[in-house]
Amino acid sequence: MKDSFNPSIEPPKKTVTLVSSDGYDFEVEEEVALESQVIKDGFEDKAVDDREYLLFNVHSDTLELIIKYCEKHVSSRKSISAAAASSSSSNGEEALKEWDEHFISVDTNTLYDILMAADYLNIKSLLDLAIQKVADTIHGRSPEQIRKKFNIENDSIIDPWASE
Amino acid sequence: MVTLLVSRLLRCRRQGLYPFQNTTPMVTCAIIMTEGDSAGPSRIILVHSLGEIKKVWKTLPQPVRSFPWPEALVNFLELILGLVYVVAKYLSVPLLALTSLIYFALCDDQEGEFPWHLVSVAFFLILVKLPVLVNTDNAVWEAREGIALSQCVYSVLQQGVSFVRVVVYGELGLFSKGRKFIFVLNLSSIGKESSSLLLLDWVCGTVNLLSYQKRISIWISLHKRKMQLVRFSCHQAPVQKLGDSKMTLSPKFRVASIQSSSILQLSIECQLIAGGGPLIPGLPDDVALDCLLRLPVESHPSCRVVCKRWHLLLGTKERFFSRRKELGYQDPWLFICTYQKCTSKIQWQVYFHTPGRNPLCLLWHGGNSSDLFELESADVLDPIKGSWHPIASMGVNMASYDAAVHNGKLLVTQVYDPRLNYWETMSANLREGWTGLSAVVDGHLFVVSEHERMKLKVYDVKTDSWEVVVGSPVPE
Repeated sequence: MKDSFNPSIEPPKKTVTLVSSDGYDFEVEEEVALESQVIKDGFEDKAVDDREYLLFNVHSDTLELIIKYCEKHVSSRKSISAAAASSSSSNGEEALKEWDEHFISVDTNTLYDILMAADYLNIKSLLDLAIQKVADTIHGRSPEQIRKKFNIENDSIIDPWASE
Repeated sequence: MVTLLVSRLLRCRRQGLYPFQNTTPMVTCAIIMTEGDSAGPSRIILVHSLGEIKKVWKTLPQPVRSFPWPEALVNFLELILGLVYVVAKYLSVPLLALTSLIYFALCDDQEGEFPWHLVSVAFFLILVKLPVLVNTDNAVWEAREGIALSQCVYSVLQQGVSFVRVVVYGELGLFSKGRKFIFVLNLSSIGKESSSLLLLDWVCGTVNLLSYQKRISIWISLHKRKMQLVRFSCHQAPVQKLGDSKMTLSPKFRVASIQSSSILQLSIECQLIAGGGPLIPGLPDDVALDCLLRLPVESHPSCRVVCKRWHLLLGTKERFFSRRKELGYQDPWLFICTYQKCTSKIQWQVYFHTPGRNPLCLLWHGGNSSDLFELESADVLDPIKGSWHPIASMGVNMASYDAAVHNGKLLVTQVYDPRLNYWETMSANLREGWTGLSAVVDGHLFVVSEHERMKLKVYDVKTDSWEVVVGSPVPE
C-alpha cells in the first residue's frame, strides 16, 4: 500500500545543479533549490529543461552553507507540518530557531558572505536571519566597539558622546 | 438757519433797533456765519473739524495710534456677522417648527393647495446650513507654525497609521472660544488616488481651523494600522491678525497623497551616495541599510556617532523611521505635539513602545489654553484595542503640558501610575527643575532648560536631583 502510494504524491525527485563562482557543481533537490526566490522565478519563467544555474556571486564554501540551510528548512518544515497533521505536540519550530541561531553564529566574513548570497539568491528567511544577526552585533556596543568590529573609519567631526 | 436769523432779527427789533444797524462785531460775525452756512462754506467747516480731529489724534499716545484699527473693524464686523449667523442658524429650527405648526393648525381645510411657504423655509434652512457642510470638507489647515506642524503630522503619517486623533484646545474660529475639539483624521480615506484633498472625518465638533487666534495645542496619537504614505505640502499666505505684528505669515498646508515610498527611498539613496564610503565595509549599502534599519531604537544614540554616514542616516528621523515602518519594525508609536504661543515652540515627543512595559502607559492629558480654562481630564490609549479610556482625574488643574513617560509612569506636574490608575504628587526637585522641553531617552529624563541658557539636564531618580549634561550647548 505504502509503496504504491508514495510515487503518486511524490514525483520522482528532480534535481537542480547549482554552479558556484569557482566552478563547483552542487546537485540539489528541486525542492531545496526552490527556497531561493530567484531560482523559483527562473524556474517558472524558463523551460523545465534548464536545470543548471550559474551563481556567479556565490563561492562554493558559502553555497555549501546555504544548501545546508535550505535542506534543513525544507526537512524541518515537512516534519512540522507532519507533526501538525498528526496533532502531536512538537517543538519543531523551537528546534529550528535554535538551529538557525547556531548556524548563523559564524565569523563576520562568513556572515557577510552568507548575507550577500542570501541577498543574491533572495532567500527571505536566511536574509532576515543574517541581517538580524548583524543588527544584534551592532546593538549594545559602544561606538568605538562598533567601529572596531565593522572596520569603520571614524570620520565624525564632532563626537558629542566622547566625554562619556 | 433761517429761524435763527429770523429770531435774531426779531430780537433786534424788540430791543428797538433796526436790523443790521449798530450791531456789534460779534453779532455781525455771527450773522455772516449763519448766512454762509447754506452752501459752500460747510465744506470748510468740515475740513476744520477734520483738522481738529487730526490734532487730537496726534496728541494720543503711541499705542493707540499704532493700533490696527481697520483690522479691528474687520474683526468686529466678522464677530457681529458670526453672531448673526449663529442666531439665524439656531432660530431656523424653531422657525420651521412654528410655521409648520401654524400651517397644520390653521390651514387644515385648504387641502388642495401646495405649501409653498414651507418649501421656502426649507430652502432657507438649506442655505443656512450650507456653509457648515462646506467647512467640513475644507481640507485646508492653517497654523502659524504650519511647517513644523506639518512636519509633525507628516512624521505621524510616516509611522503608518490610519487614524490620527487630534485634540485642539483654544480659540478656533468665532464660535468656539475656550472649547475643546477632538477630531480624528481618517487617513485611510485619503486613498490612493493622487490629487485627493479630502481629509477629515470629524468625530465631534465642526471646526473651522482657518481662524484660530491665540493658542493651539495639538495632540496626535496613533492608531496602529496599515501604512499610508501621505505628504503635506505647505504654502504660505499672508494673514493680518489683530494686534499681533508677528502674525503676518500663516502657512496653509494641505494633505496630498503621494503614490509610494519611492521618493523616500530615492532620497535615502542620494544621501548615502553623498555620504562617501560604504555604510558597513564589506557589505553593499542596501544590505547594510537593512541591517541598520533592524537596530532597536535604544541603540541609535550610540550608533549615530560611529561615523558621519551613520550619523546622517540615523539623524533623518522621518525617513529612517518611515523605512523602518515599511519593513514592519514599529517601536515608536506616539507622537505628541503641542504648540505654545508664549514660547512660540512646537513641542513634540516620541514615546517608544517597549514590549516589556505596561502597554497602557500612554495618555494625553489636559492642557491649559491662554488661561481661559484648564483641564484636569486625561485619557489613556490602549494601543492593542485602539480605544481611549478616561482615567482618574488629576485632582489639580493642569497648567503645563509638557509630559514624559519615565519608568512606566507618566510625569506631568504630577506622576501617573498606570498600573494603579492613580496620580501622585511629583517630588519638588523634579518639578522645579523641569523648566523646559523634556524627552526620555533610554530611561533617562532629559530636560532642555529654557531659563538657564538652554542647558541640558538629566534627572537622577535615585538622588532625586538634576545633573547638567556636559557637552556642546543645545542650539537655540
